[in-house]
Amino acid sequence: MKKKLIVLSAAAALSAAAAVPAFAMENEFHGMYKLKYFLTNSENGGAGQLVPVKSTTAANYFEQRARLFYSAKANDDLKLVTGFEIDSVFGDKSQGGIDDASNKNTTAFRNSGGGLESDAVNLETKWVYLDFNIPSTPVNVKAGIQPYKDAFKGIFLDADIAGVYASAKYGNAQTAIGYFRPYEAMVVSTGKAVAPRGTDNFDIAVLEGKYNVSKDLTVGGAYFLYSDYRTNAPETFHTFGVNAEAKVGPAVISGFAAYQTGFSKQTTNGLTAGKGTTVNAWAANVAGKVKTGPGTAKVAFLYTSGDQDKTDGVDHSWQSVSQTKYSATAFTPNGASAANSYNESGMMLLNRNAAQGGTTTDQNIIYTTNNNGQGAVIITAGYDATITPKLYANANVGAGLTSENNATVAHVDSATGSNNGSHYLGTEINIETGYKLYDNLTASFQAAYLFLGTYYKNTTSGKDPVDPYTARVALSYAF
Amino acid sequence: MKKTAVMMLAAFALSATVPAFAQMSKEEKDQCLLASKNCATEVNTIQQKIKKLNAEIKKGKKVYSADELKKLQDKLKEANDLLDKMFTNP
Repeated sequence: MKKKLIVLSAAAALSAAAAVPAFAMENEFHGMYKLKYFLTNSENGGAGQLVPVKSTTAANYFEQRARLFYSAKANDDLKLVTGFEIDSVFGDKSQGGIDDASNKNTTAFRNSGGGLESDAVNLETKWVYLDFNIPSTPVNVKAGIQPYKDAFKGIFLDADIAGVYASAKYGNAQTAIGYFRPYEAMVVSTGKAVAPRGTDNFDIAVLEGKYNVSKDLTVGGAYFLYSDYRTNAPETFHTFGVNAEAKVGPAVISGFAAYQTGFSKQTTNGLTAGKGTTVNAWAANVAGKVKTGPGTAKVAFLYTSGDQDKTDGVDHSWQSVSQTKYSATAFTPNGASAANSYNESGMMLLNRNAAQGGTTTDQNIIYTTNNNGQGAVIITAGYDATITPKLYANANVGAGLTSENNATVAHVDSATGSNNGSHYLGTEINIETGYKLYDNLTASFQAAYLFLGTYYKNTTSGKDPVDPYTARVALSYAF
Repeated sequence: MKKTAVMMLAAFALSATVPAFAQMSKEEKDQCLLASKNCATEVNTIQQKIKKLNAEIKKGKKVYSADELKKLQDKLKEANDLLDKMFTNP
């Protein structure tokens, strides 16, 4: 009898154990979808600097982006995070393949699939990284292709990037150390990495620290090593900076100051750098926001240094990370395909603000914080109102200037034949209003108009270029 | 007597380990099939997760220990960060 009871109890215990798995895997799926319809005289679905033109017929197009995120969570201390992206413009491209006659691909790959019948292989990798805590330590490690935004509000680096980043919390202090490898050296003719791998890279290393002095005051600092040895024109410079955020009554004030020093043998922004240019640049920011009425009022100021004299052997322009791929000789940093941002501005056309974008269209007057070696001054003010729990409206105004002018960007007055001396790029006003159709789905309208400044005076065949504008209707779904 | 007690205990243990599938009564329509609602295997949207975490954090120290509250707050930050990055990550 006793035996039977023991067997029964054991069976019950076993079944209980079987029914509650000790290591239940948590599968988490999230994502977003954004559809935008554009009516604009300055955007075309691409990315890069917005160069004002004499006159242009307004473009209208639909653009969509989906992002899918899957996390495989073994437990609270260990997970694999993945993210994917699918971008398309309605009617653009589909059915990519190799053209028999030219033996070239027909480009229906990334950002395609919006043409008739779709049928494009257009799934992009965004994130793939392991996120885990080291047992019995306060250390968290993220290893793999991950999102990273610098402690200077993204003006140096804001991108998806492959590397290893370890952070730790000790009471009120936080520290972090990271190593990222944006590119290996490549044999351009074959598209293969230069052997042995890992010897001639573009590397970025980061050290960060943060301390909560009180619940209302946080101070921090960061250091970045930018070291690009892919070609025989290397570039290595250091970025040091401090930042702080304080709550003062109902207001939150934040800012940073950063300095760059190093050298570059690359021909950056037309600088005469062949013999080796010294980098000597800086940036500063201060911003405030305060809750007032039904929303938040905000002001912000950003300065990045620029370079005027290209022959003095010193590059004073703030260096920002951008995509620099495929070259056998030298790269042009700070150029096309920015990997930095300044979202605090609230601008849509004036500067690169990833928060106002959300689809592939990514075109701005100040496209990188380097601004073609000229640096930038961006002064903005705005108000974000929550009118009802379902309805919101935002308005922003902002002015942009170059810190220094140089001839690398065409701003020649046709009447005088020389570059305009004015630093004033223009002033943007914009609005956004949105309504939550569901908790997850928001319909919104964005519009921006940029009054061009005297920097562009008479720069298009003796006439001023037309002021850029954009109007967008959007649907945003997040789950 | 002892045998009955052990069997009841075993039955209880078993019943406790069976997931509660029967959240919908037979009289109700199958909202899960009909409208993807009330599914026993329902997963949270990011907004639901944030709402739930906020609600749990609000319960405070009456329900959770300080460590547990910190864990919930970390998870809330993580969820808010993801929602933010979905739209603002370049």
